[in-house]
Amino acid sequence: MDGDQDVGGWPVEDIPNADTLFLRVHHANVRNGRPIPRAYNEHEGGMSTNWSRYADAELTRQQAALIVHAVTGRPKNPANYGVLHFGVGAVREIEDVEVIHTPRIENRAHTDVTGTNSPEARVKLGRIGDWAIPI
Amino acid sequence: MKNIRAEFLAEKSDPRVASSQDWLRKPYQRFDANKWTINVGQHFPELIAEEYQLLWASLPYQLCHFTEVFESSRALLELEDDWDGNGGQSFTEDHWRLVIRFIADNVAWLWQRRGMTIEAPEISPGPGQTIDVHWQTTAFEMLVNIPADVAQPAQFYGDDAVGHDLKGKLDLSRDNFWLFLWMATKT
Repeated sequence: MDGDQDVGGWPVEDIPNADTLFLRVHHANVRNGRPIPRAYNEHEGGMSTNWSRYADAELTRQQAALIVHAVTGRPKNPANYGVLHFGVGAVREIEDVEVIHTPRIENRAHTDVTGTNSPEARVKLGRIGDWAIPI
Repeated sequence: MKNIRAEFLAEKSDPRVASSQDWLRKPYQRFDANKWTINVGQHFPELIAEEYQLLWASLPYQLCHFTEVFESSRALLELEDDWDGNGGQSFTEDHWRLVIRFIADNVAWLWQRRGMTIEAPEISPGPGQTIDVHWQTTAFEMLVNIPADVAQPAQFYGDDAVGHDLKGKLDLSRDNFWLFLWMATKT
Protein backbone atom coordinates (compact mmCIF):
# COMPACT_ATOMS: atom_id res chain seq x y z
CA MET A 1 0.00 0.00 0.00
CA ASP A 2 2.94 2.34 0.63
CA GLY A 3 2.95 5.23 -1.82
CA ASP A 4 -0.35 4.16 -3.36
CA GLN A 5 -1.75 7.60 -3.14
CA ASP A 6 -0.34 11.07 -2.58
CA VAL A 7 -1.98 13.39 -0.13
CA GLY A 8 -0.57 16.86 0.36
CA GLY A 9 2.43 15.93 -1.79
CA TRP A 10 3.43 13.06 0.50
CA PRO A 11 2.75 9.38 -0.08
CA VAL A 12 0.18 7.72 2.17
CA GLU A 13 1.92 4.98 4.10
CA ASP A 14 0.91 2.04 6.26
CA ILE A 15 1.56 2.72 9.92
CA PRO A 16 3.02 -0.25 11.83
CA ASN A 17 1.36 -1.29 15.07
CA ALA A 18 4.64 -0.92 16.91
CA ASP A 19 4.81 2.81 16.19
CA THR A 20 3.46 5.66 18.27
CA LEU A 21 0.90 8.43 17.78
CA PHE A 22 1.11 11.84 19.44
CA LEU A 23 -2.00 13.82 20.32
CA ARG A 24 -2.02 17.51 21.29
CA VAL A 25 -4.39 18.24 24.22
CA HIS A 26 -5.55 21.73 25.17
CA HIS A 27 -5.41 22.53 28.89
CA ALA A 28 -9.18 23.10 28.90
CA ASN A 29 -9.55 19.37 28.25
CA VAL A 30 -7.50 18.39 31.29
CA ARG A 31 -8.79 18.03 34.86
CA ASN A 32 -6.69 17.09 37.85
CA GLY A 33 -3.83 16.25 35.55
CA ARG A 34 -5.86 13.82 33.45
CA PRO A 35 -7.40 14.37 30.02
CA ILE A 36 -11.21 14.37 30.09
CA PRO A 37 -12.90 12.05 27.55
CA ARG A 38 -13.52 15.00 25.25
CA ALA A 39 -9.78 15.21 24.58
CA TYR A 40 -10.28 12.40 22.05
CA ASN A 41 -12.80 14.41 20.10
CA GLU A 42 -13.08 13.48 16.43
CA HIS A 43 -13.67 16.40 14.09
CA GLU A 44 -12.98 17.28 10.46
CA GLY A 45 -12.34 13.69 9.49
CA GLY A 46 -10.89 12.27 12.65
CA MET A 47 -8.85 12.84 15.76
CA SER A 48 -5.70 14.55 14.50
CA THR A 49 -2.47 12.95 15.64
CA ASN A 50 1.15 12.74 14.49
CA TRP A 51 2.94 9.55 13.51
CA SER A 52 6.21 8.97 15.33
CA ARG A 53 8.06 8.20 12.08
CA TYR A 54 7.97 11.88 11.11
CA ALA A 55 7.31 13.74 14.35
CA ASP A 56 7.96 13.63 18.06
CA ALA A 57 6.06 14.95 21.06
CA GLU A 58 7.75 18.36 21.11
CA LEU A 59 7.19 18.95 17.40
CA THR A 60 3.55 17.98 17.87
CA ARG A 61 3.20 20.58 20.59
CA GLN A 62 4.99 23.31 18.63
CA GLN A 63 2.80 22.72 15.58
CA ALA A 64 -0.03 24.41 17.48
CA ALA A 65 1.65 27.66 16.43
CA LEU A 66 0.96 26.77 12.77
CA ILE A 67 -2.78 26.94 13.39
CA VAL A 68 -4.42 30.35 13.29
CA HIS A 69 -7.03 30.90 15.97
CA ALA A 70 -10.41 31.37 14.27
CA VAL A 71 -11.50 34.15 16.63
CA THR A 72 -8.34 36.12 17.40
CA GLY A 73 -6.64 35.55 14.04
CA ARG A 74 -3.41 34.87 15.89
CA PRO A 75 -1.39 31.64 16.01
CA LYS A 76 -2.29 29.28 18.83
CA ASN A 77 0.05 29.15 21.78
CA PRO A 78 1.91 25.81 22.16
CA ALA A 79 2.23 26.47 25.88
CA ASN A 80 -1.51 25.82 26.20
CA TYR A 81 -1.07 22.22 25.11
CA GLY A 82 0.22 18.96 26.49
CA VAL A 83 0.94 15.90 24.36
CA LEU A 84 -0.27 12.33 24.85
CA HIS A 85 1.26 9.30 23.21
CA PHE A 86 -0.45 6.06 22.17
CA GLY A 87 0.74 2.76 20.80
CA VAL A 88 -0.73 2.33 17.31
CA GLY A 89 -1.54 -1.34 17.89
CA ALA A 90 -3.43 -0.56 21.11
CA VAL A 91 -5.47 2.09 19.32
CA ARG A 92 -6.37 -0.34 16.55
CA GLU A 93 -7.62 -2.87 19.09
CA ILE A 94 -10.51 -0.55 19.97
CA GLU A 95 -13.69 -1.53 18.16
CA ASP A 96 -14.55 0.62 15.11
CA VAL A 97 -11.42 2.75 15.49
CA GLU A 98 -9.06 3.14 12.53
CA VAL A 99 -5.65 4.73 12.14
CA ILE A 100 -5.16 6.36 8.74
CA HIS A 101 -2.09 8.22 7.56
CA THR A 102 -3.35 11.53 6.13
CA PRO A 103 -0.25 13.64 5.41
CA ARG A 104 -0.58 17.33 4.78
CA ILE A 105 1.73 19.62 2.85
CA GLU A 106 3.07 21.16 6.04
CA ASN A 107 2.92 17.96 8.09
CA ARG A 108 3.95 14.59 6.71
CA ALA A 109 3.25 12.98 10.10
CA HIS A 110 -0.43 13.87 10.18
CA THR A 111 -2.62 10.88 10.95
CA ASP A 112 -6.36 10.70 11.50
CA VAL A 113 -7.83 8.34 14.05
CA THR A 114 -11.49 7.74 13.19
CA GLY A 115 -14.35 6.41 15.28
CA THR A 116 -13.20 8.09 18.48
CA ASN A 117 -16.42 9.90 19.38
CA SER A 118 -18.14 6.82 20.81
CA PRO A 119 -18.08 6.49 24.60
CA GLU A 120 -16.34 3.13 24.29
CA ALA A 121 -13.50 4.53 22.21
CA ARG A 122 -13.00 7.49 24.49
CA VAL A 123 -12.97 5.34 27.64
CA LYS A 124 -10.39 3.01 26.12
CA LEU A 125 -8.22 5.77 24.68
CA GLY A 126 -8.17 7.23 28.18
CA ARG A 127 -6.60 4.00 29.44
CA ILE A 128 -3.92 3.53 26.82
CA GLY A 129 -2.78 7.13 26.44
CA ASP A 130 0.02 8.54 28.55
CA TRP A 131 1.59 11.96 28.82
CA ALA A 132 4.65 12.58 26.69
CA ILE A 133 4.48 16.27 27.64
CA PRO A 134 2.14 16.83 30.57
CA ILE A 135 0.24 20.04 31.16
CA MET B 1 -50.46 26.70 67.27
CA LYS B 2 -49.71 29.88 69.18
CA ASN B 3 -49.06 32.93 67.12
CA ILE B 4 -46.38 34.51 69.22
CA ARG B 5 -45.96 37.56 67.04
CA ALA B 6 -49.73 38.30 67.04
CA GLU B 7 -49.85 37.90 70.80
CA PHE B 8 -46.90 40.20 71.16
CA LEU B 9 -48.47 42.88 68.98
CA ALA B 10 -51.81 42.58 70.81
CA GLU B 11 -50.09 42.93 74.13
CA LYS B 12 -48.12 45.88 72.84
CA SER B 13 -51.35 47.74 71.95
CA ASP B 14 -53.12 46.78 75.18
CA PRO B 15 -53.49 50.04 77.17
CA ARG B 16 -52.77 48.08 80.32
CA VAL B 17 -49.32 47.31 79.08
CA ALA B 18 -48.90 50.22 76.67
CA SER B 19 -46.35 51.82 78.83
CA SER B 20 -44.59 48.59 79.56
CA GLN B 21 -41.72 49.56 77.31
CA ASP B 22 -40.89 52.26 79.81
CA TRP B 23 -39.58 49.48 81.99
CA LEU B 24 -37.15 48.43 79.29
CA ARG B 25 -33.69 49.81 79.08
CA LYS B 26 -33.38 52.71 76.65
CA PRO B 27 -31.88 50.81 73.70
CA TYR B 28 -34.70 48.25 73.78
CA GLN B 29 -37.46 50.83 73.90
CA ARG B 30 -36.82 51.63 70.26
CA PHE B 31 -37.57 48.04 69.27
CA ASP B 32 -40.63 47.85 67.03
CA ALA B 33 -41.79 44.38 66.04
CA ASN B 34 -43.53 45.82 62.98
CA LYS B 35 -40.18 46.83 61.58
CA TRP B 36 -38.45 43.68 62.65
CA THR B 37 -36.82 42.31 59.55
CA ILE B 38 -33.93 39.93 59.15
CA ASN B 39 -31.67 39.95 56.15
CA VAL B 40 -31.74 36.19 55.61
CA GLY B 41 -29.33 36.33 52.73
CA GLN B 42 -26.76 38.10 54.88
CA HIS B 43 -27.17 36.17 58.11
CA PHE B 44 -28.37 32.76 56.93
CA PRO B 45 -27.04 32.34 53.37
CA GLU B 46 -27.46 28.57 53.64
CA LEU B 47 -31.23 29.08 53.73
CA ILE B 48 -31.28 30.79 50.33
CA ALA B 49 -31.86 28.31 47.49
CA GLU B 50 -31.44 28.97 43.82
CA GLU B 51 -34.30 27.77 41.68
CA TYR B 52 -32.08 25.27 39.87
CA GLN B 53 -31.24 23.59 43.20
CA LEU B 54 -34.80 22.27 43.28
CA LEU B 55 -33.54 19.69 40.79
CA TRP B 56 -31.90 17.84 43.65
CA ALA B 57 -33.92 19.17 46.60
CA SER B 58 -35.34 15.74 47.35
CA LEU B 59 -31.94 14.05 47.72
CA PRO B 60 -31.22 12.88 51.27
CA TYR B 61 -28.07 14.04 53.03
CA GLN B 62 -26.46 10.66 52.34
CA LEU B 63 -26.23 11.73 48.71
CA CYS B 64 -24.68 15.13 49.37
CA HIS B 65 -21.58 14.11 47.38
CA PHE B 66 -23.76 14.45 44.29
CA THR B 67 -25.01 17.91 45.16
CA GLU B 68 -21.43 19.16 45.38
CA VAL B 69 -20.71 17.86 41.90
CA PHE B 70 -23.97 19.29 40.55
CA GLU B 71 -23.17 22.68 41.97
CA SER B 72 -19.63 22.75 40.61
CA SER B 73 -20.83 21.58 37.20
CA ARG B 74 -22.61 24.93 36.81
CA ALA B 75 -19.20 26.08 35.61
CA LEU B 76 -20.11 24.49 32.27
CA LEU B 77 -22.59 27.30 31.76
CA GLU B 78 -19.86 29.89 32.09
CA LEU B 79 -17.91 28.54 29.13
CA GLU B 80 -18.05 30.87 26.19
CA ASP B 81 -17.85 29.90 22.54
CA ASP B 82 -14.36 28.70 21.62
CA TRP B 83 -13.54 28.01 25.28
CA ASP B 84 -11.01 25.38 24.21
CA GLY B 85 -9.40 27.34 21.41
CA ASN B 86 -10.78 24.78 18.99
CA GLY B 87 -14.34 25.94 18.37
CA GLY B 88 -15.85 24.52 21.56
CA GLN B 89 -19.45 25.74 21.91
CA SER B 90 -21.18 27.12 24.97
CA PHE B 91 -23.79 25.07 26.85
CA THR B 92 -27.41 25.92 27.60
CA GLU B 93 -29.22 25.87 30.93
CA ASP B 94 -31.75 23.35 29.56
CA HIS B 95 -28.99 20.98 28.51
CA TRP B 96 -27.33 21.18 31.92
CA ARG B 97 -30.67 20.56 33.66
CA LEU B 98 -31.31 17.53 31.49
CA VAL B 99 -28.03 16.03 32.66
CA ILE B 100 -28.58 16.84 36.34
CA ARG B 101 -32.14 15.52 36.29
CA PHE B 102 -30.91 12.28 34.74
CA ILE B 103 -28.39 11.73 37.52
CA ALA B 104 -30.45 13.07 40.45
CA ASP B 105 -33.60 11.12 39.62
CA ASN B 106 -31.72 7.87 39.24
CA VAL B 107 -29.49 8.12 42.31
CA ALA B 108 -32.59 9.07 44.34
CA TRP B 109 -34.34 5.95 43.06
CA LEU B 110 -31.31 3.84 43.87
CA TRP B 111 -31.21 5.14 47.43
CA GLN B 112 -34.92 5.06 48.15
CA ARG B 113 -35.68 1.70 46.59
CA ARG B 114 -32.49 -0.22 47.19
CA GLY B 115 -30.64 1.71 49.88
CA MET B 116 -27.62 1.85 47.58
CA THR B 117 -25.44 4.63 46.29
CA ILE B 118 -22.46 5.11 44.00
CA GLU B 119 -19.64 7.60 43.66
CA ALA B 120 -20.42 10.95 42.11
CA PRO B 121 -19.43 11.30 38.45
CA GLU B 122 -17.37 13.93 36.74
CA ILE B 123 -19.51 16.15 34.52
CA SER B 124 -17.58 17.69 31.64
CA PRO B 125 -17.99 18.89 28.06
CA GLY B 126 -18.29 16.15 25.47
CA PRO B 127 -17.72 16.26 21.70
CA GLY B 128 -19.78 18.94 19.93
CA GLN B 129 -22.95 19.93 21.77
CA THR B 130 -22.87 17.08 24.26
CA ILE B 131 -22.08 16.68 27.95
CA ASP B 132 -20.14 13.72 29.34
CA VAL B 133 -21.02 12.07 32.65
CA HIS B 134 -18.04 9.97 33.65
CA TRP B 135 -17.61 7.55 36.55
CA GLN B 136 -14.11 6.22 37.02
CA THR B 137 -13.71 4.06 40.10
CA THR B 138 -11.53 1.12 41.06
CA ALA B 139 -14.49 -1.19 40.41
CA PHE B 140 -15.89 0.13 37.16
CA GLU B 141 -15.80 2.87 34.56
CA MET B 142 -18.87 4.33 32.88
CA LEU B 143 -19.20 7.13 30.35
CA VAL B 144 -22.62 8.50 29.41
CA ASN B 145 -22.70 11.08 26.63
CA ILE B 146 -25.80 13.30 26.62
CA PRO B 147 -26.58 15.48 23.60
CA ALA B 148 -28.29 18.86 23.86
CA ASP B 149 -30.93 17.71 21.40
CA VAL B 150 -33.44 15.75 23.49
CA ALA B 151 -34.59 13.92 20.37
CA GLN B 152 -31.17 12.27 20.21
CA PRO B 153 -30.45 9.32 22.50
CA ALA B 154 -27.67 9.39 25.06
CA GLN B 155 -24.90 6.89 24.40
CA PHE B 156 -23.05 4.97 27.06
CA TYR B 157 -20.24 2.52 27.59
CA GLY B 158 -19.13 0.92 30.82
CA ASP B 159 -17.04 -1.98 32.02
CA ASP B 160 -15.82 -3.41 35.27
CA ALA B 161 -12.60 -4.75 36.69
CA VAL B 162 -13.34 -8.32 35.61
CA GLY B 163 -14.09 -7.46 32.00
CA HIS B 164 -17.90 -7.33 31.92
CA ASP B 165 -19.02 -4.49 29.73
CA LEU B 166 -22.19 -2.93 28.46
CA LYS B 167 -22.92 -0.24 25.92
CA GLY B 168 -25.89 1.19 24.11
CA LYS B 169 -28.27 4.08 23.88
CA LEU B 170 -30.62 5.62 26.44
CA ASP B 171 -33.89 7.45 26.03
CA LEU B 172 -33.68 9.96 28.87
CA SER B 173 -37.45 10.41 28.92
CA ARG B 174 -37.81 6.84 30.18
CA ASP B 175 -36.61 5.01 33.30
CA ASN B 176 -32.91 4.27 33.24
CA PHE B 177 -32.31 3.18 36.83
CA TRP B 178 -31.10 -0.24 35.71
CA LEU B 179 -27.91 1.44 34.52
CA PHE B 180 -27.35 2.91 37.98
CA LEU B 181 -28.17 -0.43 39.55
CA TRP B 182 -25.44 -1.99 37.40
CA MET B 183 -22.94 0.55 38.73
CA ALA B 184 -24.12 0.11 42.33
CA THR B 185 -23.67 -3.65 42.18
CA LYS B 186 -20.06 -3.13 41.07
CA THR B 187 -19.27 -0.85 43.98
